[in-house]
Amino acid sequence: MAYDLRDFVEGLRTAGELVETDDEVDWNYEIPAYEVLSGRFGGPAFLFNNIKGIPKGPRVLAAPFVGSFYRPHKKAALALGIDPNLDRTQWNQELGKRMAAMLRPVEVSTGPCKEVVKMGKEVNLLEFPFTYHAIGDGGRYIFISASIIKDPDSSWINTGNYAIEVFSRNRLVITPYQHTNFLAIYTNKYQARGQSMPVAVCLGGDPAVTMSAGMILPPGISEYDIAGGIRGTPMELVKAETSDLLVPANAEVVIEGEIRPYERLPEGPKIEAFGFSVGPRQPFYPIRVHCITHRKNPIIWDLHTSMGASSVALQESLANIAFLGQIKTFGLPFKMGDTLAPTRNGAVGIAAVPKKRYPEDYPGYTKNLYDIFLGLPGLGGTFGRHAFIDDDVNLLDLGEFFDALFTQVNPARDVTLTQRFPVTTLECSWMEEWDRDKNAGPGTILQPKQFFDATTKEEPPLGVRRLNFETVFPEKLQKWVVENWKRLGFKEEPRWNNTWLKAKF
Amino acid sequence: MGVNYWLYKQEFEGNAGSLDKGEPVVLEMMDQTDKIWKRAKVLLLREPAEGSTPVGLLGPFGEPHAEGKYHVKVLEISSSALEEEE
Repeated sequence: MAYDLRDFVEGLRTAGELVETDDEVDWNYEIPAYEVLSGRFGGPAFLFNNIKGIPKGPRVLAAPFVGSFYRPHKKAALALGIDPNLDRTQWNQELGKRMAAMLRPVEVSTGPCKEVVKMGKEVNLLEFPFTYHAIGDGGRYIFISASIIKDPDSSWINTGNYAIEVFSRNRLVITPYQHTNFLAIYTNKYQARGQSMPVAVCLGGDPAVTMSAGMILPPGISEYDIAGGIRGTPMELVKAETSDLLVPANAEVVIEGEIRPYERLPEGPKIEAFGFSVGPRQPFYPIRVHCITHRKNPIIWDLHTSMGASSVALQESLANIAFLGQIKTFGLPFKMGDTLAPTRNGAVGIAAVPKKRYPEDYPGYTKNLYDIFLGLPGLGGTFGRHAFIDDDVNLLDLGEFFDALFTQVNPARDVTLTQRFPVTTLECSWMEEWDRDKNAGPGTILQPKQFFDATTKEEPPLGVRRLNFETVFPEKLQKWVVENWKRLGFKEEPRWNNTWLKAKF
Repeated sequence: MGVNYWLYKQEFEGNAGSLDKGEPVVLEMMDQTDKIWKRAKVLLLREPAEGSTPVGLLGPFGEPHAEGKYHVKVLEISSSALEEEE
Protein backbone atom coordinates (compact mmCIF):
# COMPACT_ATOMS: atom_id res chain seq x y z
CA MET A 1 0.00 0.00 0.00
CA ALA A 2 1.24 3.49 -0.84
CA TYR A 3 2.95 5.52 1.88
CA ASP A 4 0.89 8.44 3.17
CA LEU A 5 0.75 11.16 5.81
CA ARG A 6 -0.59 8.71 8.41
CA ASP A 7 2.46 6.49 7.90
CA PHE A 8 4.62 9.59 8.43
CA VAL A 9 2.77 10.31 11.69
CA GLU A 10 3.48 6.75 12.87
CA GLY A 11 7.12 7.13 11.81
CA LEU A 12 7.41 10.30 13.88
CA ARG A 13 5.81 8.52 16.85
CA THR A 14 8.18 5.56 16.60
CA ALA A 15 11.19 7.88 16.42
CA GLY A 16 10.07 9.75 19.55
CA GLU A 17 9.42 12.87 17.47
CA LEU A 18 5.64 13.20 18.07
CA VAL A 19 3.49 14.62 20.86
CA GLU A 20 -0.20 13.67 20.50
CA THR A 21 -2.93 15.21 22.60
CA ASP A 22 -6.73 15.13 22.95
CA ASP A 23 -6.68 18.38 24.94
CA GLU A 24 -8.63 21.17 23.25
CA VAL A 25 -6.40 23.59 21.33
CA ASP A 26 -7.22 26.68 19.28
CA TRP A 27 -6.49 27.11 15.54
CA ASN A 28 -6.24 30.81 16.34
CA TYR A 29 -2.57 31.38 17.35
CA GLU A 30 -2.27 28.41 19.77
CA ILE A 31 -1.40 25.56 17.39
CA PRO A 32 1.21 27.64 15.53
CA ALA A 33 2.70 28.76 18.87
CA TYR A 34 3.60 25.16 19.76
CA GLU A 35 5.39 24.82 16.43
CA VAL A 36 7.38 28.01 16.89
CA LEU A 37 8.56 26.92 20.35
CA SER A 38 9.45 23.48 19.01
CA GLY A 39 11.47 25.14 16.26
CA ARG A 40 13.69 26.80 18.83
CA PHE A 41 15.30 23.50 19.79
CA GLY A 42 14.61 21.16 16.89
CA GLY A 43 11.76 19.68 18.91
CA PRO A 44 8.82 17.40 18.21
CA ALA A 45 5.88 17.45 15.85
CA PHE A 46 2.38 17.63 17.34
CA LEU A 47 -0.84 15.80 16.50
CA PHE A 48 -3.81 17.75 17.85
CA ASN A 49 -7.04 15.72 17.90
CA ASN A 50 -9.43 18.22 19.44
CA ILE A 51 -9.68 21.64 17.82
CA LYS A 52 -11.75 24.41 19.41
CA GLY A 53 -14.85 25.29 17.41
CA ILE A 54 -14.35 22.49 14.88
CA PRO A 55 -16.77 19.52 14.97
CA LYS A 56 -14.93 16.32 15.90
CA GLY A 57 -13.10 14.82 12.95
CA PRO A 58 -10.35 16.97 11.47
CA ARG A 59 -7.00 16.87 13.26
CA VAL A 60 -3.91 19.03 12.88
CA LEU A 61 -0.31 17.86 12.45
CA ALA A 62 1.90 20.81 13.40
CA ALA A 63 5.68 21.18 13.19
CA PRO A 64 6.01 18.17 10.86
CA PHE A 65 9.44 19.18 9.54
CA VAL A 66 11.07 21.04 12.41
CA GLY A 67 14.76 20.20 12.24
CA SER A 68 18.04 21.04 13.91
CA PHE A 69 20.65 23.54 12.82
CA TYR A 70 22.99 21.01 11.23
CA ARG A 71 20.27 18.50 10.38
CA PRO A 72 17.29 20.51 9.12
CA HIS A 73 16.32 17.39 7.17
CA LYS A 74 15.90 15.06 10.14
CA LYS A 75 12.10 14.73 9.84
CA ALA A 76 12.10 15.00 6.05
CA ALA A 77 14.46 12.04 6.09
CA LEU A 78 12.09 10.09 8.34
CA ALA A 79 9.29 10.82 5.86
CA LEU A 80 11.32 9.24 3.06
CA GLY A 81 12.80 6.32 4.97
CA ILE A 82 16.30 7.87 4.84
CA ASP A 83 18.68 7.77 7.82
CA PRO A 84 18.01 11.07 9.69
CA ASN A 85 21.57 11.00 11.06
CA LEU A 86 23.15 11.68 7.68
CA ASP A 87 24.89 15.05 7.51
CA ARG A 88 23.62 17.66 5.04
CA THR A 89 26.05 16.65 2.32
CA GLN A 90 25.14 12.99 2.61
CA TRP A 91 21.42 13.86 2.71
CA ASN A 92 21.74 15.82 -0.52
CA GLN A 93 23.68 13.02 -2.17
CA GLU A 94 21.05 10.46 -1.22
CA LEU A 95 18.18 12.70 -2.27
CA GLY A 96 19.91 13.52 -5.56
CA LYS A 97 20.44 9.85 -6.31
CA ARG A 98 16.77 9.13 -5.73
CA MET A 99 15.59 12.13 -7.76
CA ALA A 100 17.62 11.02 -10.74
CA ALA A 101 15.63 7.78 -10.79
CA MET A 102 12.33 9.49 -11.64
CA LEU A 103 9.27 7.25 -11.80
CA ARG A 104 6.08 8.11 -13.63
CA PRO A 105 2.90 7.96 -11.53
CA VAL A 106 0.14 5.42 -12.07
CA GLU A 107 -3.58 6.17 -12.28
CA VAL A 108 -5.91 4.24 -9.99
CA SER A 109 -9.71 4.13 -10.05
CA THR A 110 -10.32 5.52 -6.56
CA GLY A 111 -8.63 6.17 -3.25
CA PRO A 112 -9.05 7.25 0.37
CA CYS A 113 -9.24 10.92 -0.66
CA LYS A 114 -12.76 10.18 -2.00
CA GLU A 115 -14.19 8.96 1.33
CA VAL A 116 -16.16 12.21 1.67
CA VAL A 117 -17.20 14.29 -1.37
CA LYS A 118 -18.75 17.76 -1.03
CA MET A 119 -19.84 19.71 -4.10
CA GLY A 120 -21.14 23.21 -4.81
CA LYS A 121 -23.14 24.66 -1.94
CA GLU A 122 -21.89 21.96 0.45
CA VAL A 123 -18.37 23.36 0.17
CA ASN A 124 -17.22 25.18 3.30
CA LEU A 125 -13.51 25.74 3.84
CA LEU A 126 -14.21 27.14 7.31
CA GLU A 127 -15.14 23.63 8.50
CA PHE A 128 -11.43 22.81 8.49
CA PRO A 129 -8.98 23.93 11.18
CA PHE A 130 -6.77 26.07 8.96
CA THR A 131 -4.69 28.04 11.40
CA TYR A 132 -4.07 31.71 12.07
CA HIS A 133 -0.31 32.02 12.41
CA ALA A 134 0.69 35.46 13.64
CA ILE A 135 -0.45 38.84 14.89
CA GLY A 136 -0.93 41.03 11.82
CA ASP A 137 -1.61 38.25 9.33
CA GLY A 138 -4.35 39.23 6.90
CA GLY A 139 -6.08 35.87 7.27
CA ARG A 140 -5.78 32.14 7.88
CA TYR A 141 -3.18 30.49 5.65
CA ILE A 142 -2.35 27.12 4.17
CA PHE A 143 1.45 27.04 4.03
CA ILE A 144 1.90 23.38 3.10
CA SER A 145 0.08 21.79 0.20
CA ALA A 146 0.60 20.60 -3.34
CA SER A 147 -1.25 22.70 -5.89
CA ILE A 148 -1.78 20.68 -9.06
CA ILE A 149 -2.22 22.23 -12.51
CA LYS A 150 -1.69 20.95 -16.05
CA ASP A 151 -0.04 22.46 -19.10
CA PRO A 152 -2.87 22.62 -21.67
CA ASP A 153 -0.47 21.90 -24.55
CA SER A 154 1.24 18.77 -23.24
CA SER A 155 0.99 16.05 -20.62
CA TRP A 156 3.12 18.07 -18.18
CA ILE A 157 1.56 18.19 -14.72
CA ASN A 158 2.99 20.90 -12.49
CA THR A 159 2.86 20.77 -8.71
CA GLY A 160 3.85 23.61 -6.40
CA ASN A 161 3.67 24.64 -2.76
CA TYR A 162 2.49 28.22 -2.26
CA ALA A 163 1.08 30.34 0.54
CA ILE A 164 -2.71 30.26 0.20
CA GLU A 165 -5.10 32.56 2.05
CA VAL A 166 -8.45 31.17 3.15
CA PHE A 167 -10.59 34.01 1.82
CA SER A 168 -14.14 32.77 2.40
CA ARG A 169 -16.10 29.53 2.63
CA ASN A 170 -15.50 28.86 -1.08
CA ARG A 171 -12.55 31.01 -2.10
CA LEU A 172 -8.81 30.62 -1.65
CA VAL A 173 -6.24 33.14 -2.84
CA ILE A 174 -3.01 31.56 -4.07
CA THR A 175 0.31 33.43 -4.26
CA PRO A 176 2.78 31.93 -6.76
CA TYR A 177 5.74 34.23 -7.35
CA GLN A 178 7.04 35.50 -10.67
CA HIS A 179 9.63 32.77 -11.19
CA THR A 180 7.22 29.85 -10.83
CA ASN A 181 6.11 27.49 -13.58
CA PHE A 182 2.60 27.81 -12.11
CA LEU A 183 2.43 31.47 -13.01
CA ALA A 184 3.99 30.96 -16.44
CA ILE A 185 1.37 28.35 -17.32
CA TYR A 186 -1.53 30.41 -15.97
CA THR A 187 -0.46 33.72 -17.49
CA ASN A 188 0.97 32.64 -20.83
CA LYS A 189 -1.48 29.91 -21.66
CA TYR A 190 -4.83 29.85 -19.84
CA GLN A 191 -5.22 33.57 -19.23
CA ALA A 192 -3.81 34.54 -22.63
CA ARG A 193 -6.48 32.34 -24.23
CA GLY A 194 -9.25 33.65 -22.00
CA GLN A 195 -9.66 30.26 -20.31
CA SER A 196 -10.10 29.24 -16.69
CA MET A 197 -7.33 27.09 -15.23
CA PRO A 198 -8.38 24.06 -13.16
CA VAL A 199 -6.48 23.75 -9.87
CA ALA A 200 -6.47 21.10 -7.15
CA VAL A 201 -4.93 22.01 -3.79
CA CYS A 202 -3.95 18.76 -2.10
CA LEU A 203 -3.10 18.36 1.58
CA GLY A 204 -1.36 15.26 2.88
CA GLY A 205 -0.87 12.06 0.94
CA ASP A 206 2.70 10.93 0.43
CA PRO A 207 4.99 13.67 1.84
CA ALA A 208 7.22 13.00 -1.19
CA VAL A 209 4.66 14.80 -3.37
CA THR A 210 4.57 17.93 -1.22
CA MET A 211 8.34 17.89 -0.80
CA SER A 212 8.77 17.71 -4.57
CA ALA A 213 6.24 20.53 -4.91
CA GLY A 214 8.53 22.67 -2.79
CA MET A 215 11.39 22.46 -5.28
CA ILE A 216 12.06 24.91 -8.10
CA LEU A 217 12.32 22.60 -11.10
CA PRO A 218 12.95 23.35 -14.77
CA PRO A 219 9.85 23.61 -17.01
CA GLY A 220 8.53 20.30 -18.29
CA ILE A 221 9.60 18.19 -15.31
CA SER A 222 6.70 16.82 -13.30
CA GLU A 223 7.07 16.82 -9.55
CA TYR A 224 5.02 13.59 -9.47
CA ASP A 225 7.88 11.87 -11.35
CA ILE A 226 10.39 13.29 -8.86
CA ALA A 227 8.21 12.14 -5.95
CA GLY A 228 8.13 8.63 -7.41
CA GLY A 229 11.91 8.70 -7.61
CA ILE A 230 12.52 9.85 -4.06
CA ARG A 231 9.96 7.37 -2.69
CA GLY A 232 11.22 4.56 -4.91
CA THR A 233 7.72 3.65 -6.04
CA PRO A 234 5.28 5.39 -8.42
CA MET A 235 2.77 7.82 -6.93
CA GLU A 236 -0.84 6.63 -7.14
CA LEU A 237 -3.14 9.25 -8.65
CA VAL A 238 -6.87 9.45 -9.10
CA LYS A 239 -8.95 11.71 -11.31
CA ALA A 240 -10.41 14.83 -9.67
CA GLU A 241 -14.20 15.21 -9.48
CA THR A 242 -14.55 18.46 -11.43
CA SER A 243 -11.65 18.37 -13.91
CA ASP A 244 -9.20 16.00 -15.60
CA LEU A 245 -6.48 16.78 -13.09
CA LEU A 246 -4.84 13.80 -11.42
CA VAL A 247 -4.49 14.10 -7.65
CA PRO A 248 -2.81 11.89 -5.03
CA ALA A 249 -5.27 9.07 -4.25
CA ASN A 250 -4.28 9.00 -0.59
CA ALA A 251 -4.39 12.77 0.04
CA GLU A 252 -6.10 13.83 3.25
CA VAL A 253 -7.96 16.71 1.57
CA VAL A 254 -8.32 17.76 -2.08
CA ILE A 255 -9.74 21.23 -2.77
CA GLU A 256 -10.82 21.53 -6.41
CA GLY A 257 -11.50 24.76 -8.21
CA GLU A 258 -10.58 27.12 -11.01
CA ILE A 259 -8.67 30.35 -11.48
CA ARG A 260 -10.45 32.55 -13.98
CA PRO A 261 -8.55 34.76 -16.42
CA TYR A 262 -7.72 38.23 -15.06
CA GLU A 263 -9.68 37.63 -11.86
CA ARG A 264 -7.90 38.87 -8.72
CA LEU A 265 -8.69 39.26 -5.02
CA PRO A 266 -6.71 41.06 -2.31
CA GLU A 267 -4.28 38.91 -0.33
CA GLY A 268 -1.97 39.46 2.65
CA PRO A 269 -0.14 40.70 4.56
CA LYS A 270 1.29 37.50 6.00
CA ILE A 271 4.34 35.94 7.54
CA GLU A 272 6.49 34.38 4.84
CA ALA A 273 9.15 31.77 4.38
CA PHE A 274 12.12 33.98 5.26
CA GLY A 275 11.22 35.11 8.69
CA PHE A 276 9.19 38.33 8.44
CA SER A 277 5.86 39.63 7.26
CA VAL A 278 5.29 40.36 3.61
CA GLY A 279 2.80 42.86 2.23
CA PRO A 280 1.04 44.97 1.25
CA ARG A 281 -2.42 43.51 0.78
CA GLN A 282 -2.44 43.24 -3.00
CA PRO A 283 -4.23 41.46 -5.85
CA PHE A 284 -3.42 37.76 -6.27
CA TYR A 285 -5.11 34.78 -7.87
CA PRO A 286 -8.44 33.57 -6.44
CA ILE A 287 -9.42 29.92 -6.63
CA ARG A 288 -13.17 29.47 -6.94
CA VAL A 289 -13.68 26.26 -5.00
CA HIS A 290 -16.30 23.90 -6.47
CA CYS A 291 -15.57 20.67 -4.64
CA ILE A 292 -13.77 19.31 -1.58
CA THR A 293 -13.02 15.62 -1.18
CA HIS A 294 -11.36 14.25 1.93
CA ARG A 295 -10.60 11.26 4.07
CA LYS A 296 -12.64 10.62 7.20
CA ASN A 297 -11.06 12.41 10.17
CA PRO A 298 -8.60 14.16 7.87
CA ILE A 299 -5.23 15.31 9.15
CA ILE A 300 -4.50 18.91 8.17
CA TRP A 301 -0.79 19.52 8.31
CA ASP A 302 0.41 22.95 9.16
CA LEU A 303 3.67 24.85 8.81
CA HIS A 304 4.90 28.00 10.44
CA THR A 305 7.38 30.25 8.67
CA SER A 306 9.17 31.75 11.65
CA MET A 307 12.85 31.11 12.36
CA GLY A 308 13.53 27.46 13.00
CA ALA A 309 10.02 26.30 12.18
CA SER A 310 9.02 23.72 9.60
CA SER A 311 8.85 25.93 6.54
CA VAL A 312 12.48 26.98 6.78
CA ALA A 313 13.71 23.50 7.73
CA LEU A 314 11.87 22.00 4.78
CA GLN A 315 13.25 24.64 2.47
CA GLU A 316 16.77 23.95 3.70
CA SER A 317 16.25 20.26 3.16
CA LEU A 318 15.13 20.65 -0.44
CA ALA A 319 16.68 23.81 -1.86
CA ASN A 320 20.13 22.44 -2.63
CA ILE A 321 18.90 19.53 -4.61
CA ALA A 322 16.42 21.69 -6.52
CA PHE A 323 19.24 24.07 -7.46
CA LEU A 324 21.29 21.09 -8.57
CA GLY A 325 18.46 20.20 -10.91
CA GLN A 326 18.75 23.63 -12.51
CA ILE A 327 22.54 23.47 -12.58
CA LYS A 328 22.54 20.09 -14.31
CA THR A 329 19.72 20.92 -16.70
CA PHE A 330 21.51 24.00 -17.96
CA GLY A 331 24.99 22.44 -17.81
CA LEU A 332 26.40 25.11 -15.49
CA PRO A 333 29.85 24.74 -13.91
CA PHE A 334 28.62 24.79 -10.30
CA LYS A 335 28.95 22.23 -7.56
CA MET A 336 25.93 23.36 -5.52
CA GLY A 337 23.54 26.22 -4.76
CA ASP A 338 21.70 27.17 -1.58
CA THR A 339 19.10 29.72 -0.52
CA LEU A 340 20.91 30.37 2.75
CA ALA A 341 17.75 30.24 4.80
CA PRO A 342 19.23 28.34 7.73
CA THR A 343 16.96 27.08 10.44
CA ARG A 344 17.73 29.98 12.75
CA ASN A 345 18.13 32.83 10.28
CA GLY A 346 16.24 34.55 7.52
CA ALA A 347 17.27 34.46 3.90
CA VAL A 348 20.30 36.32 2.69
CA GLY A 349 19.85 35.42 -0.96
CA ILE A 350 21.44 32.63 -2.89
CA ALA A 351 24.99 31.37 -2.87
CA ALA A 352 26.54 29.07 -5.40
CA VAL A 353 29.78 27.21 -5.68
CA PRO A 354 31.58 27.42 -9.02
CA LYS A 355 33.77 24.41 -9.62
CA LYS A 356 37.32 25.30 -8.68
CA ARG A 357 39.01 27.36 -11.39
CA TYR A 358 41.68 29.62 -10.05
CA PRO A 359 43.41 31.39 -11.41
CA GLU A 360 40.36 32.29 -13.51
CA ASP A 361 40.22 31.05 -17.09
CA TYR A 362 40.43 34.70 -18.02
CA PRO A 363 39.99 37.95 -16.08
CA GLY A 364 36.31 38.43 -15.43
CA TYR A 365 35.40 34.72 -15.74
CA THR A 366 33.51 34.67 -12.44
CA LYS A 367 31.59 37.83 -13.31
CA ASN A 368 30.60 36.32 -16.63
CA LEU A 369 29.43 33.23 -14.81
CA TYR A 370 27.30 35.47 -12.64
CA ASP A 371 25.72 37.07 -15.72
CA ILE A 372 24.58 33.62 -16.85
CA PHE A 373 23.41 32.76 -13.33
CA LEU A 374 21.41 35.99 -13.21
CA GLY A 375 19.49 35.09 -16.34
CA LEU A 376 18.06 31.84 -14.99
CA PRO A 377 14.72 32.29 -13.22
CA GLY A 378 15.24 29.54 -10.68
CA LEU A 379 18.72 30.74 -9.70
CA GLY A 380 19.45 34.41 -10.21
CA GLY A 381 15.96 35.53 -11.10
CA THR A 382 14.32 35.23 -7.73
CA PHE A 383 16.41 36.88 -5.06
CA GLY A 384 18.33 40.09 -4.64
CA ARG A 385 21.62 39.00 -3.11
CA HIS A 386 23.99 36.38 -4.45
CA ALA A 387 27.42 35.13 -3.51
CA PHE A 388 29.89 32.72 -5.06
CA ILE A 389 32.29 30.81 -2.84
CA ASP A 390 35.06 28.29 -3.50
CA ASP A 391 34.15 24.66 -3.79
CA ASP A 392 36.21 23.71 -0.74
CA VAL A 393 34.05 25.98 1.45
CA ASN A 394 31.13 23.97 2.76
CA LEU A 395 28.09 25.83 1.54
CA LEU A 396 25.97 23.73 3.88
CA ASP A 397 27.79 25.12 6.92
CA LEU A 398 26.77 28.71 7.51
CA GLY A 399 29.88 29.43 9.59
CA GLU A 400 32.14 28.53 6.69
CA PHE A 401 30.02 30.55 4.30
CA PHE A 402 30.21 33.73 6.36
CA ASP A 403 33.89 33.19 6.99
CA ALA A 404 34.43 33.20 3.22
CA LEU A 405 32.11 36.15 2.70
CA PHE A 406 33.96 38.33 5.19
CA THR A 407 37.50 37.28 4.33
CA GLN A 408 37.49 36.64 0.59
CA VAL A 409 35.61 39.71 -0.61
CA ASN A 410 37.61 42.80 -1.46
CA PRO A 411 34.97 45.57 -1.21
CA ALA A 412 36.77 47.61 -3.85
CA ARG A 413 36.71 44.85 -6.42
CA ASP A 414 34.41 41.97 -5.58
CA VAL A 415 31.00 43.55 -4.93
CA THR A 416 28.75 44.26 -7.91
CA LEU A 417 25.53 46.26 -7.82
CA THR A 418 23.37 45.60 -10.88
CA GLN A 419 20.66 47.58 -12.60
CA ARG A 420 17.22 47.22 -11.03
CA PHE A 421 15.54 43.84 -11.53
CA PRO A 422 12.30 42.32 -10.29
CA VAL A 423 13.00 40.73 -6.90
CA THR A 424 10.51 38.88 -4.69
CA THR A 425 9.38 40.66 -1.57
CA LEU A 426 10.18 37.46 0.35
CA GLU A 427 13.63 38.61 1.38
CA CYS A 428 12.97 42.37 1.60
CA SER A 429 12.13 43.65 5.05
CA TRP A 430 11.67 47.06 3.48
CA MET A 431 9.55 48.51 0.74
CA GLU A 432 10.04 52.07 -0.39
CA GLU A 433 6.90 54.15 -0.74
CA TRP A 434 7.12 54.12 -4.53
CA ASP A 435 7.35 50.32 -4.58
CA ARG A 436 3.86 50.07 -3.19
CA ASP A 437 2.34 51.56 -6.30
CA LYS A 438 4.91 50.64 -8.92
CA ASN A 439 5.85 47.13 -7.96
CA ALA A 440 6.82 44.81 -10.77
CA GLY A 441 3.96 42.42 -10.11
CA PRO A 442 2.33 40.72 -7.14
CA GLY A 443 4.93 39.94 -4.51
CA THR A 444 7.69 41.62 -6.49
CA ILE A 445 9.57 44.90 -6.31
CA LEU A 446 12.24 46.45 -8.49
CA GLN A 447 15.64 46.79 -6.89
CA PRO A 448 19.31 46.38 -7.80
CA LYS A 449 20.83 42.99 -7.16
CA GLN A 450 24.02 42.64 -5.19
CA PHE A 451 26.71 40.10 -6.01
CA PHE A 452 29.60 39.11 -3.75
CA ASP A 453 32.46 37.28 -5.38
CA ALA A 454 33.89 35.41 -2.40
CA THR A 455 36.00 33.02 -4.45
CA THR A 456 39.77 32.91 -4.22
CA LYS A 457 41.13 35.12 -6.94
CA GLU A 458 44.64 33.78 -7.18
CA GLU A 459 46.25 30.41 -6.75
CA PRO A 460 47.86 30.01 -3.29
CA PRO A 461 50.39 30.96 -2.07
CA LEU A 462 49.53 34.36 -3.57
CA GLY A 463 45.96 34.10 -2.22
CA VAL A 464 44.93 33.70 1.41
CA ARG A 465 45.16 30.22 2.85
CA ARG A 466 41.99 29.28 4.68
CA LEU A 467 42.63 27.92 8.19
CA ASN A 468 40.34 25.17 9.32
CA PHE A 469 40.48 21.60 10.53
CA GLU A 470 40.36 20.22 7.01
CA THR A 471 43.13 22.43 5.57
CA VAL A 472 45.76 22.63 8.31
CA PHE A 473 46.10 18.94 9.26
CA PRO A 474 47.00 15.93 7.12
CA GLU A 475 43.88 13.93 6.23
CA LYS A 476 45.23 10.84 8.00
CA LEU A 477 45.53 12.86 11.21
CA GLN A 478 42.03 14.32 10.77
CA LYS A 479 40.61 10.80 10.50
CA TRP A 480 42.52 9.65 13.61
CA VAL A 481 41.20 12.54 15.71
CA VAL A 482 37.60 12.16 14.52
CA GLU A 483 37.67 8.44 15.29
CA ASN A 484 39.04 9.11 18.76
CA TRP A 485 36.56 11.91 19.40
CA LYS A 486 33.80 9.83 20.96
CA ARG A 487 36.21 7.41 22.61
CA LEU A 488 37.63 10.37 24.51
CA GLY A 489 34.16 11.16 25.85
CA PHE A 490 33.03 14.11 23.72
CA LYS A 491 29.32 13.96 22.99
CA GLU A 492 29.12 16.79 20.44
CA GLU A 493 29.28 15.93 16.75
CA PRO A 494 32.76 16.77 15.42
CA ARG A 495 31.24 17.99 12.11
CA TRP A 496 34.11 16.80 9.99
CA ASN A 497 33.63 18.39 6.56
CA ASN A 498 35.35 15.72 4.56
CA THR A 499 31.99 14.55 3.19
CA TRP A 500 31.52 17.96 1.53
CA LEU A 501 35.09 18.13 0.21
CA LYS A 502 34.81 14.71 -1.42
CA ALA A 503 31.20 15.07 -2.53
CA LYS A 504 30.31 14.91 -6.17
CA PHE A 505 26.75 15.78 -7.05
CA MET B 1 -7.49 45.69 24.55
CA GLY B 2 -9.01 43.35 22.04
CA VAL B 3 -11.13 44.57 19.15
CA ASN B 4 -13.67 42.76 17.02
CA TYR B 5 -12.52 44.09 13.66
CA TRP B 6 -9.44 45.35 11.87
CA LEU B 7 -9.69 47.83 9.02
CA TYR B 8 -6.95 47.91 6.39
CA LYS B 9 -5.04 51.13 7.00
CA GLN B 10 -4.92 52.31 3.40
CA GLU B 11 -8.65 51.73 2.89
CA PHE B 12 -9.43 53.45 6.18
CA GLU B 13 -7.34 56.47 5.20
CA GLY B 14 -9.20 56.65 1.91
CA ASN B 15 -12.46 56.94 3.86
CA ALA B 16 -11.19 59.13 6.69
CA GLY B 17 -13.17 62.08 5.33
CA SER B 18 -16.34 60.31 6.48
CA LEU B 19 -15.26 60.16 10.15
CA ASP B 20 -18.04 61.47 12.39
CA LYS B 21 -19.99 62.75 9.38
CA GLY B 22 -22.83 60.26 9.70
CA GLU B 23 -22.22 59.14 6.11
CA PRO B 24 -22.22 55.36 5.68
CA VAL B 25 -19.16 53.94 3.92
CA VAL B 26 -18.64 50.48 2.47
CA LEU B 27 -15.31 48.87 3.30
CA GLU B 28 -13.72 45.58 4.25
CA MET B 29 -13.21 44.59 7.86
CA MET B 30 -11.33 41.58 9.14
CA ASP B 31 -13.51 39.76 11.64
CA GLN B 32 -11.29 38.72 14.55
CA THR B 33 -13.53 35.77 15.39
CA ASP B 34 -13.05 33.81 12.16
CA LYS B 35 -10.19 35.89 10.66
CA ILE B 36 -12.13 36.47 7.46
CA TRP B 37 -12.49 39.83 5.67
CA LYS B 38 -16.11 40.93 5.36
CA ARG B 39 -17.72 43.66 3.32
CA ALA B 40 -19.61 46.04 5.59
CA LYS B 41 -21.57 49.26 5.46
CA VAL B 42 -20.54 51.25 8.54
CA LEU B 43 -20.42 54.65 10.17
CA LEU B 44 -16.84 55.64 11.07
CA LEU B 45 -16.49 57.24 14.50
CA ARG B 46 -13.77 58.75 16.67
CA GLU B 47 -15.67 58.20 19.91
CA PRO B 48 -17.79 55.23 21.00
CA ALA B 49 -21.53 55.57 20.41
CA GLU B 50 -24.53 53.41 21.13
CA GLY B 51 -24.20 50.17 19.17
CA SER B 52 -20.66 50.91 18.03
CA THR B 53 -17.62 48.68 18.40
CA PRO B 54 -13.92 49.61 18.62
CA VAL B 55 -11.65 48.70 15.73
CA GLY B 56 -7.93 48.49 15.00
CA LEU B 57 -5.97 49.31 11.87
CA LEU B 58 -3.80 46.82 9.98
CA GLY B 59 -0.71 48.25 8.27
CA PRO B 60 0.54 47.00 4.89
CA PHE B 61 3.24 44.77 6.39
CA GLY B 62 1.17 43.17 9.10
CA GLU B 63 1.44 45.92 11.71
CA PRO B 64 -1.77 46.12 13.79
CA HIS B 65 -2.04 49.49 15.51
CA ALA B 66 -4.40 52.18 16.79
CA GLU B 67 -6.51 49.55 18.56
CA GLY B 68 -9.59 51.24 19.99
CA LYS B 69 -8.68 54.65 18.56
CA TYR B 70 -11.60 54.48 16.11
CA HIS B 71 -15.03 52.88 16.24
CA VAL B 72 -17.56 51.62 13.73
CA LYS B 73 -21.29 51.29 13.86
CA VAL B 74 -22.09 48.34 11.63
CA LEU B 75 -25.19 48.90 9.48
CA GLU B 76 -24.81 45.86 7.20
CA ILE B 77 -22.23 43.10 7.04
CA SER B 78 -21.81 40.18 4.62
CA SER B 79 -20.19 36.81 5.27
CA SER B 80 -17.11 37.66 3.18
CA ALA B 81 -15.45 40.46 1.23
CA LEU B 82 -16.92 39.26 -2.04
CA GLU B 83 -19.50 41.34 -3.86
CA GLU B 84 -21.44 38.15 -4.51
CA GLU B 85 -20.83 34.61 -3.37
CA GLU B 86 -21.84 31.73 -5.57
